[in-house]
Amino acid sequence: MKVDISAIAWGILVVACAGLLLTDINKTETLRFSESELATSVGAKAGKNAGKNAVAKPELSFVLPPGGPPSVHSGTLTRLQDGQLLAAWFGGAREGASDVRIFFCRRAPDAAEWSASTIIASREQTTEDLNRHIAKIGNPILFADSRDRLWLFYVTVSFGGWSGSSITMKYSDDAGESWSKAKRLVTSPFLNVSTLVKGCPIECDSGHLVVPVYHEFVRKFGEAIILDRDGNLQSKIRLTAVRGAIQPWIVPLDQQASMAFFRQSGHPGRSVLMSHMPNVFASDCGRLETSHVPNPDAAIAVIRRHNGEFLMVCNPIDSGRHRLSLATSSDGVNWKLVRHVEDGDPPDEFSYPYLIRGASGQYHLIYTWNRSRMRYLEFDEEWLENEL
Amino acid sequence: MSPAFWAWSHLSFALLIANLLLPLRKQRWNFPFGVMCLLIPLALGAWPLRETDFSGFILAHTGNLSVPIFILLVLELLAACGLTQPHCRRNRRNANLFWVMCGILVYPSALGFINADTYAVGYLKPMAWCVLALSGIALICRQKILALCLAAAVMIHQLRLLESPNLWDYLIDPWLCLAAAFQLMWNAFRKNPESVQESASCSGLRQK
Repeated sequence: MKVDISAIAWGILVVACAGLLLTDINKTETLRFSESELATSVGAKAGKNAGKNAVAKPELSFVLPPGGPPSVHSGTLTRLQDGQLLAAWFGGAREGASDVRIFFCRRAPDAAEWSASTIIASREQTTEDLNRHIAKIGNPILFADSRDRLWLFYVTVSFGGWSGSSITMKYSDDAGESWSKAKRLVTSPFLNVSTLVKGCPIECDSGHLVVPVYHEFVRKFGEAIILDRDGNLQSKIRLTAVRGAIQPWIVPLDQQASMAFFRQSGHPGRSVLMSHMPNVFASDCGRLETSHVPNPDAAIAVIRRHNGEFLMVCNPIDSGRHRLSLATSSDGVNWKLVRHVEDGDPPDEFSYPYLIRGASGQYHLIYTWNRSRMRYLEFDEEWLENEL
Repeated sequence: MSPAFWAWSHLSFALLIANLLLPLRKQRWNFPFGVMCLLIPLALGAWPLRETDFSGFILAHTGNLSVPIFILLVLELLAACGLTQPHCRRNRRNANLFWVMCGILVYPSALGFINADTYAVGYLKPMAWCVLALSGIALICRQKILALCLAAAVMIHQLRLLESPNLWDYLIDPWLCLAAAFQLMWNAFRKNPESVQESASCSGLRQK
């Protein structure tokens, strides 16, 4: 009798696979946004602490002193349970230069000044960690989860422009003193290009993270990736396939429904886009709607206020990035401009806002100031109400 | 980076180089020569280059190789050394058709040409069972190499030997789809006097 070796090999493989699949105990969890991510819970805290932590007079300040890298961009903020505020941004000779590094600094709850900045990621170190050539890095996102584990997501490019990016991740369990090795997230079947990160991650009650990302190669559209509490990629959600809807900010409405806001890229007469998703985890995308806020192909940041309204930081002009403003809306489509944070003239650039809320309901905003410094603003509901 | 993935990327690089040398041969390689053709690129791949090594530099531009292309590169090398039979043309054509169809299913969707994201299906557990079933069908249809490639891809995915948690990344890569499409087109446009003989050898019949 002739023995068919390939059939035997196949049989062994299939039995082994079936065994592994059957013993795979990872149950599919029903994901829900964490209560702490919802506006109502923060609103309650804010109400309790009203007056106690009020920001008497919001003032604009710079995060880093002059004399840093010639070009800085893409600031990000997060806060730890003890009230420490942490910031990161990228800086170097210019955006996309090989000497660009990710800088990091902190501000203690009662401190007036930010600490001196340190480098937490560089092209060289990332190349070594990933054992592959990295030409440039950029777009950091910091996020502290409910365990106070600090996550850093940033993009790395091996070849080409930003559309050749993939997402790399690190974490720190000691508030940013030391960091894990970089780990690459494989999010695309096309040589793992082109997924970029910009928006603020959201934590689920199971500890999973929903990280808003976007795709830029051939077509541009918004997505989100879901990571488990150990940073392992679990799945990917297509937020929209409409061209040019990038850099999503996901704002939870309840434990599954959310609103996503997008920067509009590449179209004349651009404006901020939004989409209501009844269940973001089921990739249940709603129709993309156009808001009445002009968008000069510039990043936005949106969060929800304690009263359920949306608060957006954007450049509400048709071209240029010389004006940065705060706007509020109850439905996400119709917006009311509250005030200008910056109002300059071209070629001034006040861009890439990143907005988070503190434990007591204050808002913390960081943005790029003329590509040379990172600027920071802290304000509260009371101040916002007075402006309305 | 896990040691398994490190070994995979270095071996992939060495296999690629060794297979690129195949068209240069004038006669069948012997086994020691085949091993040498693998060892030299392995050593070359470990050569330091710009904070990484040569294979890491190339890998950054080519992406990770999928399981089927890895197996096919190994089989080509073994066949060149006379250790296995070359993959017969009809089976190769069928396998190529399969890889191209997979590519059509995944890449346009991943690039956003349609709303649905077929790549995201690769994160779901039922897909692994479907691929196993497909490999069974391939075996029944006497597509042994294809069946082995599919089962091995599921196996390596379950063991999480590579970086990606998505089964599609274990099943296909753009180079496999491009090579398959190129081979299909090449064979479609060239005269093929050996087709009867090839067809007979695929079905296990021996020509007299």
